[in-house]
Amino acid sequence: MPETAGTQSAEPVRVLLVEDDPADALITTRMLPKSYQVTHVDTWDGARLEIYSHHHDVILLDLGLPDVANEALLAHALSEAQDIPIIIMTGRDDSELAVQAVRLGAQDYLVKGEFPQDWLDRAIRYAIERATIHKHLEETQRRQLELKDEFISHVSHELRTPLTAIHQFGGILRDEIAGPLTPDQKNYVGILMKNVNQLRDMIEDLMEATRAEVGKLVVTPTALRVEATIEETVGGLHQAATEKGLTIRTELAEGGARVLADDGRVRQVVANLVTNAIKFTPEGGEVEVGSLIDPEDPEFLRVWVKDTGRGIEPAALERIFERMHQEEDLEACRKGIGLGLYICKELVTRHGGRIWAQSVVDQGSTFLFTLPLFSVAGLLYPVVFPLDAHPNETVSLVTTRIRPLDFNATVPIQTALLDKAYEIHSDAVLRYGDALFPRSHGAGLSENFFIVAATQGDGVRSLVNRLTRAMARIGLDSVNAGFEVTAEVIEVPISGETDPHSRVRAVTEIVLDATKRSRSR
Amino acid sequence: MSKKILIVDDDADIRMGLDARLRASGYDTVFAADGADATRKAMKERPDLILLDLGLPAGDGFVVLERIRNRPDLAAIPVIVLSARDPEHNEKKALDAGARAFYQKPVEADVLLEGIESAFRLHGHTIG
Repeated sequence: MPETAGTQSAEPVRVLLVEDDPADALITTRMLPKSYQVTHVDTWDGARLEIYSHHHDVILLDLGLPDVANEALLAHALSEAQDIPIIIMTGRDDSELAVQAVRLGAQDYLVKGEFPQDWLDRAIRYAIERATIHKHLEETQRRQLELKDEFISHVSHELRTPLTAIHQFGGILRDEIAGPLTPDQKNYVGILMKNVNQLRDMIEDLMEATRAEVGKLVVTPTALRVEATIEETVGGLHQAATEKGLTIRTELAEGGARVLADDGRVRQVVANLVTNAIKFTPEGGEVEVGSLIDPEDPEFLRVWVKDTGRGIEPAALERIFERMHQEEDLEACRKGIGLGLYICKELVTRHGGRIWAQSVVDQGSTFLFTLPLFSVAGLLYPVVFPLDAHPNETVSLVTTRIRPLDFNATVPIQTALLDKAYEIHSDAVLRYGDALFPRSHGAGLSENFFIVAATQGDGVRSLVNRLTRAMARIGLDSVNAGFEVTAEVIEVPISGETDPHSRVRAVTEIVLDATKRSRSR
Repeated sequence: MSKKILIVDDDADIRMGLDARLRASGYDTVFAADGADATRKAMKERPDLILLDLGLPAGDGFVVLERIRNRPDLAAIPVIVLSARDPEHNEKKALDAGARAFYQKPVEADVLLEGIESAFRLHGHTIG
């Protein structure tokens, strides 16, 4: 048996009694064993203070309190009581509400004046016991997931070693480093490499799905020109489409919308959906990838991948984003382990978007997902109008520019290094009053960071100094790339003072102008 | 004169595969199979670049990186980490420890070769 706080240790059971009727409170207290330590409060506010300041083993809660509406009280109690079990004390007329409460997560309920003396004590002991078991169960489940994650990570690493050897020598044969091949040999080695790469992707999917399960999928959103990302990803799959006799085309939103998304993760989702479309569309078919502002919510961009394939049965359409779901086509499903769409869903959801599918059997399927649009004005608002303070007359724009030292380099600056630089920036800015722009994924090799700081004068100087020192510490001034931190003070136009939105809009335009200038330098 | 690359990996097959690939691209190769050997070979052979695995006996890749970075005569040699380990947990750590790049195995040959060439270009730039 797991050890419980109240029943087996010498410590007395600590009861928090939340009851606004003094007579009821007295009756309840008298029913409890003398050894129990009872704290009585008569409002939810008082109860909350007790929960945060002292330890309690159980809460006896009257659902009718003066300071919170009856219906809202339980939700408050369940979310704020953390792990402390709650027993509802109810009058005869609201037992319906009490049953509902148990369904929502309360441990038990008792109708006042209608239970024998020893019931209360027993209810408390059982409630504590059940809550303890529940906690242990959750702990065990969490631990199991962690073990699974460790196990998968270990297995994946072990599988990769022999896979690497096969991949290496297959590549050496394919590239004819070990001598020329006959056309047949070339064909066979091609098949070998294709299957090795599938195996590698499966191992990666397995890792990703496990990460998703334990909540470890990392998504680092940047202000992303998503059309370029989609265009490049689709471009990389052109050959696969052509080989199957399919045409593939893009129909992207004009004007280059920027979304708040992780470039690598968007590539992952698009590649997955397009690969599926290619896989399930017969020769002569067409795959279309498009984007537009979401007609249902203009704060999102909608991306779709449409094919003229065999379609999906309505019944399967609902389950298609579940783990381990596979289309029942032997030849086609051999190429995956049914985790791709599950990972896509996890990734899109992590961005704050949604993903769904539409299909007509024998005519084709369309997979759609949304990503939040990036808004500079939204970021600038708290800078121009700081919390509990006068609007700022000026805003300082601190720009850090990172560029490769070798201008002929064709390899972009390591993402990890840029991540590190971003981390430095987010550590350096103030939580309130400064706004750190998401990493701007500029075209080509130069990457820019933009910070808007409301801090005046010396504050901005010291921010620039701190950034410069920290960036030099990670070797950004010598190893891979150089950087430059500059500060620029922008006057906030006061013409639109009466209207905060037009004022922010004006600042936004100036800032966007400035960022454009520094980007084209 | 062709550049010399030190291949550090405890798996003989992978050493052999890298050797074939690098020699085909005109590089000279030398080998080490564990952490201690890697440092020894780096001192003796003075390679132009080190391809380093992380999971090694007798001092793993991070230990090797640290030893190399702490020796003034070796510190300037560019190191590229080539590991089967998860980049999510190891890429940043390797770069922080002074590696120039991290690639997860198996890596496409052209990606690795491009990474090596880029390291040489940057290296030449810093010295010149």
